[in-house]
Amino acid sequence: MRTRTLFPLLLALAACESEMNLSSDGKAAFDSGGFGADTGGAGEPSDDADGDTGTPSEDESDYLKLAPAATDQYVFVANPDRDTLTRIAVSSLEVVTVEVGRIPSTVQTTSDYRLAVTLDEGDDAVSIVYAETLEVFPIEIRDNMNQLSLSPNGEWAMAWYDPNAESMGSSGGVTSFNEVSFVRTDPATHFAMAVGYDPAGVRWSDDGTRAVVVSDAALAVVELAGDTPVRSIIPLVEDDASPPVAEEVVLTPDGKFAFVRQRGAEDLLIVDLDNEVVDRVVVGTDPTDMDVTVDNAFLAVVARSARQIWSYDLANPYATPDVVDFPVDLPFGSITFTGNGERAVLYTNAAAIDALTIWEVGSSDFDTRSLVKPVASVGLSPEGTTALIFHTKENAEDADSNDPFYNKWALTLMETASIGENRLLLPAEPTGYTVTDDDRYGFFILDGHDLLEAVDFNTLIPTTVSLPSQPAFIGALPGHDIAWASQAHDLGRISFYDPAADSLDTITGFELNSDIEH
Amino acid sequence: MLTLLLFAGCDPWDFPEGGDDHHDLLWDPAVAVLSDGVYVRLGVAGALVRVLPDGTWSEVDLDGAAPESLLASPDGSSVFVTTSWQACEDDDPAIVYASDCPSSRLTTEREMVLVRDGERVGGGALDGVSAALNAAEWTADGSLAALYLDPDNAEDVQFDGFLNLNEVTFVDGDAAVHRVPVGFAPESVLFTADNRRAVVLSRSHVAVIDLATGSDGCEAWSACVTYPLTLDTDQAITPNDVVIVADGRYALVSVESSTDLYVLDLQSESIDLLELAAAPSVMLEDTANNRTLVAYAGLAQIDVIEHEFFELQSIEVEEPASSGVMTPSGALFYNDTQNSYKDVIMVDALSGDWSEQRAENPIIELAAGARHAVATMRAEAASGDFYDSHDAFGIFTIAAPGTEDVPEPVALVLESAPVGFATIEGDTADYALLLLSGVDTILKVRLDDASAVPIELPAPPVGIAATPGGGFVVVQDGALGSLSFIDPADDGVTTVTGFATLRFAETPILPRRAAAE
Repeated sequence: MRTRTLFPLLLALAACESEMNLSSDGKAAFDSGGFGADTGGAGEPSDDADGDTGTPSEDESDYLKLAPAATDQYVFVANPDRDTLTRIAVSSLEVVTVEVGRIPSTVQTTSDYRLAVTLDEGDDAVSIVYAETLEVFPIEIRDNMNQLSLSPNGEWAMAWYDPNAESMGSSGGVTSFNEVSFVRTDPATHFAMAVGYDPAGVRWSDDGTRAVVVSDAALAVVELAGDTPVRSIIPLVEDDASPPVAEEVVLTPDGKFAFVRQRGAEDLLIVDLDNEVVDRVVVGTDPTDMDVTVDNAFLAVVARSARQIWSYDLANPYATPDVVDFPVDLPFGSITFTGNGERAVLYTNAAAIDALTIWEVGSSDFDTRSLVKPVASVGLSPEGTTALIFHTKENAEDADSNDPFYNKWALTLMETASIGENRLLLPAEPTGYTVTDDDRYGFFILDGHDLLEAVDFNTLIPTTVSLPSQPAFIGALPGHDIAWASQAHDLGRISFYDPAADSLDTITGFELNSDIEH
Repeated sequence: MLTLLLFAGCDPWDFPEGGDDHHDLLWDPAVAVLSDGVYVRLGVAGALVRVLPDGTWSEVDLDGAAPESLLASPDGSSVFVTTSWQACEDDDPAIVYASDCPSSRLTTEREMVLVRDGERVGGGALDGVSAALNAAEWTADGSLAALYLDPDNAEDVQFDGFLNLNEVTFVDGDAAVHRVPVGFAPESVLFTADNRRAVVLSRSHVAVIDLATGSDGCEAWSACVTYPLTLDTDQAITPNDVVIVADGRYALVSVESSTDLYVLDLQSESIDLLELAAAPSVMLEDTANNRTLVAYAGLAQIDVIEHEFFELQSIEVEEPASSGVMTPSGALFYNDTQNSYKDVIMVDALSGDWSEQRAENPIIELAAGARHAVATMRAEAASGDFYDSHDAFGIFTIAAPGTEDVPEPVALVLESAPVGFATIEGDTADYALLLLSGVDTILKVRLDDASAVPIELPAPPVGIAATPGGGFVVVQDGALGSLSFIDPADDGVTTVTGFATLRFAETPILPRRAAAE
């Protein structure tokens, strides 16, 4: 392979939804993007230095890590204390519990809703569970893995060890910082391999035939189409003793190219995965976020210090990129595209800036809006017609101490195509949110409060729904206008809220089901 | 002619508790009233006699054993009798009486028998049934009973060797026995309406027993499903109450000192928990409206739980309730544990409407029928008020909430403490038969107008019970045995006395000596 610095070449770029660290209900995550290891607490700017600029990295939080997983019919809850997986049928609230391996630390469901997969840390195993029949197929993996990712088509899972993540069980055996475990889900088959040092995650091609395991110093390309996975390693740097952190990686939908944004780097890496060639392309100063437009035509990179958006033509990525200046001299560092692809929201949570701007994609037109407070994170309805702007408790530098939002948590519901908005004072920090597939409703939960808030995106009016106890995670059922909220309870509790019917159903104690003797 | 129906009283056998207190008496007033007669335990004679309404009596052959306690079926078809006898391990044929046997060789044996029609069913003891079992729950038709040890009344239980507290013993009408392991310390047993399953509450577990027929993957007479009440093995959860609702689909289980109500789905075999406002004092199923009503001893609130989604509707009332009973007009709640609460509350589970009537004195016991509820009420010792300082009898009209022109409750001041009552619901009028301490008459109270006529008894009564045939039996204070049978159609009284003289002054011989050889 070769490493060289080049101007953009012809490339096809990645789909926007290939973020790392997303759970199966990934639509609830805040923004797309990074690997999460560098992120601070939700809503608080990270203390990490971002290269030579001295400005913190953008915080791309994911509130739903380790959450329950849902299909269109069921919610699956892993019970690490009981070594079981509980399936709750949403229509009937029927609860069925099956045994999986010891200490199932996470559960994820495949996009076709056919399988639920648990990472059983106590057994160093993965359990593959058929959603309808609850047949369980356990398979051993390498020791001490604590992270799991499923391919988009559900045919593969990859487990790895993240030293920065909590481990719920250790076999006491060897802990490798280079190994990953690939598991074919049907039939259950395990393949172990060594990849680059300290893998941070995996990117999958849309068809699931290629995986790219990301490390700071190298990408491991794993071909999955054959009977046995075939791996090759592509170094990203010549000196791997102290490689820059690979903050963000985007894979083209066909899996042929990967784009790597490194912390502190003033250019992007373009990796030709077929030919194992790494190139560099110039980008504006301080690139802090990148995302692919919904039509897969462009890769947009935000150059925070340069106050610019660099757009690379994915049909010809080595062509001179279009560069659009920000409309104002503000350090926007994050970009999120609306689901319809017409607009993108630019904001920052690395500085206490009480404004954002909405970019008409493909143009130099912006709609800059003042906010009541700085931004902690931004969520969008699936089409992107409504943005949920979660604000920090911290105030902007010039904030008026008499302002009702001063030193308070807040949320702004904002229409992206018009000026409609609803500014909400919150009694506590929001800890999670989700939206329904049909762009109709959003839901969020607040720290320390036994409630969820349901937002009607047509009216921007929230409705408070009392819960029996404090929610821990929130999600929406695919294909339904129903939210679920798992809650803190010794024996397990989850509530389902239907905003159209304004009905709340709660099931409590479902972990007792694991000890029902037949 | 009167159509006689019994009000749903809490205790159909309103007799004094039996037990050791009466062993030194000739007879135990804690009788068992069956359809074939009244069974009386003779303490000194060590015999069981059956007394008939025609004035005759006969001894039940227990093969020399003495009855120690009686557990009658609610339908009056049969009675469990725990018996004991002394045995001498010395086979010397010269040993005839217990006093002949060396004390080191003298033992006491115990067994359980089932008695019906004056005989032991099967001709002997129930095989494998411990005589220490002191509680029984029966199916509604009396065809099957579940026997277990009630720990709340186990102070006088005697047994040899060990007692297995992990099982329930089922006995059917033919005396066939099935012992089923169910978990430690079973405390309550309920049967589903179709008598196909039994729900057994034990410590930290609830077991569902498949009776007789079995089902897929489950053998008959076994615990098909056992539901845990906790996942912490160090935690002991004691079930407090259970109701089986929605045609046997769900069991609702409350536990001691907890606001959790366990909803056990007996069909899909899963568990849900409802969080109540407090620990429930009573749960009633309203089958007509497919709802369960829950009251709390320490909270002035009635909760109504529907049986589809188990959503809960709370009704604020003015006083807490400790007990309740279903009536055709709604659920009737009252408080029989705290003197300061005297409300009698009627709740419509469907609408949530409620109404209240006021008892003049604290309620001791209440029974309700379709048109009236009656209650015995205790005197309030600290009160100098004439009414409050006397025991009383209250009559309440049963009416759905919202009914207009409901008559006010009537309170009758009583000469002495009530010792029991029974009720009669007729076509044209309802009556209560009220017994007073030290008074040798029964007051037959017409509930519609509170008028009363006395029915003379030969001696002061100590208890009353209804017979399966529609009559009543009054147990009276008589050293040699005294029972009266009352025909409510004509108030006729037939008194039987002297049955406790059986084998009077005889010295019993050691029984079953031939078997010992």
